[in-house]
Amino acid sequence: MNSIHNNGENDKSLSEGLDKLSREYGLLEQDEPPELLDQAILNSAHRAVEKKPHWMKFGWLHGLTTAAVFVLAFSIILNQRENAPDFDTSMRNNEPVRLQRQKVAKKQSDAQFEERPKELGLERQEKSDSSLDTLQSSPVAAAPASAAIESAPEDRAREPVAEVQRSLYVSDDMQGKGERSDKGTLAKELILEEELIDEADSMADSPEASTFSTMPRPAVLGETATSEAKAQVKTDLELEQRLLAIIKLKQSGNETWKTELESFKESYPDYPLPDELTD
Amino acid sequence: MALISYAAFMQEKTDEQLMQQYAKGNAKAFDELYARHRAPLYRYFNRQVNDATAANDLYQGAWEKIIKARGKYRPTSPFTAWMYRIAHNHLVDHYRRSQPVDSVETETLSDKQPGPAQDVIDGEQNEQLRAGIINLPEEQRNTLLLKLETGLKMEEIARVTGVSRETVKSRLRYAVNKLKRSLVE
Repeated sequence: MNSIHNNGENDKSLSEGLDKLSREYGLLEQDEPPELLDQAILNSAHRAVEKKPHWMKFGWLHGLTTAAVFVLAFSIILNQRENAPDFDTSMRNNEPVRLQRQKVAKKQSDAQFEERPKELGLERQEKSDSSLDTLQSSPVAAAPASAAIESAPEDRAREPVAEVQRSLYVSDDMQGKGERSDKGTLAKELILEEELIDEADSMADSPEASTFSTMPRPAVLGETATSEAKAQVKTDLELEQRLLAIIKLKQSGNETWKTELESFKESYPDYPLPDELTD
Repeated sequence: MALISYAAFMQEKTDEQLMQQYAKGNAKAFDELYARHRAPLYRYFNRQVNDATAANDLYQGAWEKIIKARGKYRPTSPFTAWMYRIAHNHLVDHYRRSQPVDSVETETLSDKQPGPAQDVIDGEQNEQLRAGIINLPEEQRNTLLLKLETGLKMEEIARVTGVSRETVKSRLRYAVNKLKRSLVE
């Protein structure tokens, strides 16, 4: 009971003492923080809740993406290194032979096709001089020859296969458009052959070289292709000569031109005839 | 007009509401909260250490901790108690760093020898009081300043300082008696 009473008195005296002390404490100088400190703290508080730009919110995503790209690139490079064939040694061994063969084939084909348009043009010139003026106006004869002559210098710099293809189109004009699709197919086959030859050539010195040694070389195949084209041109020229002869017969009044023409039609039913003979 | 109405709106808010708003990203709420508590908190530190530079450092450090801990604040406890608990812990850390040996709990007035600050007393009552507070033992001074600056109840001071209510009362009683004596002298 006494202790409770004492506690009550103590609390009362404490509260009285605190009240008095508070009054005196309130009279003390009211210290305040410096303004610079206030500003620093407020700035810090504002920065802490500043909304970050959208891209900064996903900063982790950028990091993850970058890391993923690096890992992917590294794995691809590693994978390619593991699976890559040993080109170095085979290419080093094959390169001189291969290059030599390509150069020889190119020279041969260039030489052949440089001569061809000139020959064709000269023959045309001779024919046009010696024969009829009507033939000059013929679309079958005149246009392809002049085109071939004009385009001949440009063609020298191009690929042999492309030249073969172009020459085939020249003869197309001479023969008619009916055969163009067949010639185009032939040109594609030639390109494919060229690619196959390159591939086979690169493997020339490999262990399977003995197998490939029996295969035709690029030069041989190039010759085959060009000889075919040349033979075709030759055939076309022969046919035109024959037609010219028939026209001559007709103009001289010889009636045998009709029988000659009939036999020509029987032999070459799809070959286009000049206007003089179609009347 | 808009500013006046905004200020009136802010004045109506309690500390707890302002702190919650700040935690959600409203920087203006912090401005108001800071304006309310800046001076008491500064005096709390300044009269603990009696060194302007140290007081400034402590004050800024305490606010930085409050800003960092904004997301952890829960309105179940009064904001003032929460804030001064952070400030008290910051101060204790400071004492531990600066005087690791002299942090002995002192409950009796006779155990504490008069400090050098008493020599500065020039007869003026304010200076005597200031010096008397500085010469109090650390725990008594801390408890007394919490009581005088914040007006917290004894239970809240007990929570802030991490001791029992009776310990708070005892510390306050010793501090008041000693200050009375120094003021009479």
